[in-house]
Amino acid sequence: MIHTNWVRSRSTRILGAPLPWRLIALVALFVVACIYPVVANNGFVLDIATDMALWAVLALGLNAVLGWAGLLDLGYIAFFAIGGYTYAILSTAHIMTFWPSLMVAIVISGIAAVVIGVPTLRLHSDYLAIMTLGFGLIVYIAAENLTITGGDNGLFGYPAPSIGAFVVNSPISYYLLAVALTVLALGVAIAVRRSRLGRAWNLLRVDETAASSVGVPVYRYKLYAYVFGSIWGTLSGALFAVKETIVSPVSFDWSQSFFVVAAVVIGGTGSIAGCVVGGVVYIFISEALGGVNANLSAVVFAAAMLGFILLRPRGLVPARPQYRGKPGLWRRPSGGRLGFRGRTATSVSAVVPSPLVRAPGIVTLRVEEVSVRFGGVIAVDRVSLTAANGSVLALIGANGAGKTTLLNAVSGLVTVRQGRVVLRSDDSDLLLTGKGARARAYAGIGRTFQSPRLANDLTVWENVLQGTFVGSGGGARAGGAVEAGSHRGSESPYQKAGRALELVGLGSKANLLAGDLPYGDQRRCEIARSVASAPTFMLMDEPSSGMNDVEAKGIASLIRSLADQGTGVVLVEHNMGIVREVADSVIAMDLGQVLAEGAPESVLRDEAVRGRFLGE
Amino acid sequence: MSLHLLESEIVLGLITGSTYVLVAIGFTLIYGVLRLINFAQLSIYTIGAFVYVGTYSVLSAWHQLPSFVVYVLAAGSGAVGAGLVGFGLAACTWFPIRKAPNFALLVASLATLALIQDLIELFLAPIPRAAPNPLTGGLVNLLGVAVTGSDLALLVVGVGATGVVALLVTRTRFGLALRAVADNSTSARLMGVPYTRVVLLTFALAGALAGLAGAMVGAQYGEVSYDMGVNIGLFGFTAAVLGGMGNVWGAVVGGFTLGVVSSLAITVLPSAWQDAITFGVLIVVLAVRPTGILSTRTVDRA
Repeated sequence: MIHTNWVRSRSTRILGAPLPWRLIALVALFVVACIYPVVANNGFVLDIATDMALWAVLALGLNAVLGWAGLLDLGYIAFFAIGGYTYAILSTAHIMTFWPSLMVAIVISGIAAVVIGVPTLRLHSDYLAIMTLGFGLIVYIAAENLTITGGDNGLFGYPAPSIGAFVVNSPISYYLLAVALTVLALGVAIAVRRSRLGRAWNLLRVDETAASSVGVPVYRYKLYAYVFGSIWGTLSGALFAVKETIVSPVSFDWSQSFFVVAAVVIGGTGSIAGCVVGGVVYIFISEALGGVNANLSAVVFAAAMLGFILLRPRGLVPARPQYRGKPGLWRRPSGGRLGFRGRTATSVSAVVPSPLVRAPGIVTLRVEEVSVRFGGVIAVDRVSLTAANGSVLALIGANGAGKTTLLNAVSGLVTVRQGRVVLRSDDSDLLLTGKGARARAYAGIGRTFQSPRLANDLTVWENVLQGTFVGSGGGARAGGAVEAGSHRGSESPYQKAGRALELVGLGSKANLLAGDLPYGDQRRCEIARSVASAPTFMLMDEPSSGMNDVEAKGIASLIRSLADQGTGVVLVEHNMGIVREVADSVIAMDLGQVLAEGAPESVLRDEAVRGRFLGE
Repeated sequence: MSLHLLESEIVLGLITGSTYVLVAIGFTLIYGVLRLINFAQLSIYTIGAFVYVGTYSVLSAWHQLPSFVVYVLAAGSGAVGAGLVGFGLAACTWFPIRKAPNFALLVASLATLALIQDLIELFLAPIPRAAPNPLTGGLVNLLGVAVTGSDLALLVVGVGATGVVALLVTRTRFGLALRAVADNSTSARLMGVPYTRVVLLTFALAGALAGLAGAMVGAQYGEVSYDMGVNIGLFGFTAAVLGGMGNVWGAVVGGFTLGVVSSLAITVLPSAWQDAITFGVLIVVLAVRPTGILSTRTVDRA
């Protein structure tokens, strides 16, 4: 478990007011706030309002990096500078007008983001903070020292942009342009948050291992976040240059980058509305106090940021979990986004009418002579096994026998240097060895962990939704030899997640935070996440550990029903009762080797097995 | 480049590098224990410099004291003051949210940096202040290169403090506890290591080193300013990463290497681009050998 109970108590209470009214109120407020400066038509008000809009865009852009992907960017204002300077340089030299220069600026920022991101994002996320800090400094130094940027004086007198015959050169036109950009940024942010990309960021921020085990290409998606953020910084910077009619290094020093981070944290990390609020609050404070003393507003803002992170870490407008409707009863039974009715499945036998998991034909998972070494220790020693879809294979053995390592070798979390792992369908083989965890998730290998790896600060529903990553785009393409995903496209991610929840009997708890669930339910939630990806094979590491007898029985029948619907289950289990009940075959491991294999009863009666670890 | 110029640039690089060493050790100690890049270190560096200036002006009013003694006492109090601030900040920011995700700690340290820097700018020194230094006069011959007394002092203190830290980490009970926590904080706690105390003392030690560096550098430059910490920050980070984050010897090697490299580089490029060179070094190191020069273990992969 990566996250602690840290923010839980604060967020549970948020689940409440019906969504539509809240949304209507927010939109109305936003529209009124946007219209007011136009009505007031006062140069000072318009100028401040323009700054607020531009800062809202900055905060929204950084939020994707910081709030969603969880990457600390301390040089964000560099993109703001690139946007402003690119426009100023290109239009001063009459090379191109405003609009095409925006495209050039975005490309330059994107290239810079890739150059910074590629070496850094593979490492611990803190390294990005250092790199971006340096990047911010470099852009500032370059702006100060190059002749093309006009040095300390900056650039001014460049032509204003025009839209048709309309020239953008008055306070009101600056403002309208800035509001248009804000609305665009808001729309994109809302769309992205709900998209497959946004959901993937949500999980990789919390647990990168869990993210790659459900198929998220972690590294690439972090790079997307950083590049995505750079675009908004660039656009906002270009509009800033239009409004100010001068670009100079003063506007882009290090403290500006800090203030954008502060605006996001104070507004509400990860919250779209919070970012707008954060941007507005920042400009408000700096205008209100900046007149008295510019440093005073900096002090107040830094103190506010520290206060928020210590006392109210979710900010002014906390990010709300994505949930729909009331627990256990989704509205819009069909045709809507949530096309399933969440009857609370009281037992697993109340199985969903059309099975979620259905693998085509016979697929086998073959482990061939696989060895895994950790330094001098041979954790898995030339193990071979075959599992078929629709059946349950149980791995038993004492602690340290190599069972979990074997699961890790199959799911791609440890590197296998000897032996092969292969998925074989009727006609062809798909070699898994050498592929990463993500590619194996695409190939149809699902995974649950010995201690549940859930995003504790997200709801059960959001967690399960993560599992649909594989199926909700490109999954079938990547399937290769095993097109287990061919049926996946027919249902929406929401339907799949809903079914998976119902299957494990958590329908009534969909809107609780995962971290608030009792242990047994957390395991179910994790199983549901894996089920939502419709895996051909599911690797489960001690699904019943820490459960009481009743819960264990429930898990046993869940496993059986998964197998009956066509999933192949490979199970590490210490509870021999469960093994007897669900396993079609059993492999006993000891010191990394296979000790015995066969039907459950024969293996459990085996002399060597009994002597070695059944304590008899 | 003449041989003599080369030699003098290397010596000057080593002198600058000893500052980077002190700052980098601070980062690397805290990173080793908490996996946290503590930005607040940079403001503690500034605080050390300001404590130096304050103590110096108080003590120099007392005329019997020789100026060298005043210098030593002022620098020492810079270190002690900064160590106390480091301890206090950790108790106020790290301790209350110690169970929060790393991200929150990182943001808290960043906010602390900005807050202290802004407060110093607002109340103490909107413009740089003069830092008195008795050692600027005579030139000393160091390996055939003429350096000032304060340059020499910086080098001596850099090497000396490194030695003290090395002894502390390898030879004392505290050092043992520190290494245990750095290796695996959970098992260290289970073995009875007083985790909170070790972390707080690490913050204090790192703060003292940063403060000492700030005091020495302030004296050497002859002025202190509110943003001197942020300006040294990139160098300190880069030195730590260059040697391998979390590795004390790495910080030493990284600091001296970076000092020499940037000293040689500005013979070719304008000095305004020194940050750019450092940044270039950082990019190359992270791309080619993210574990740093010394470290052989795998770095925390994402």
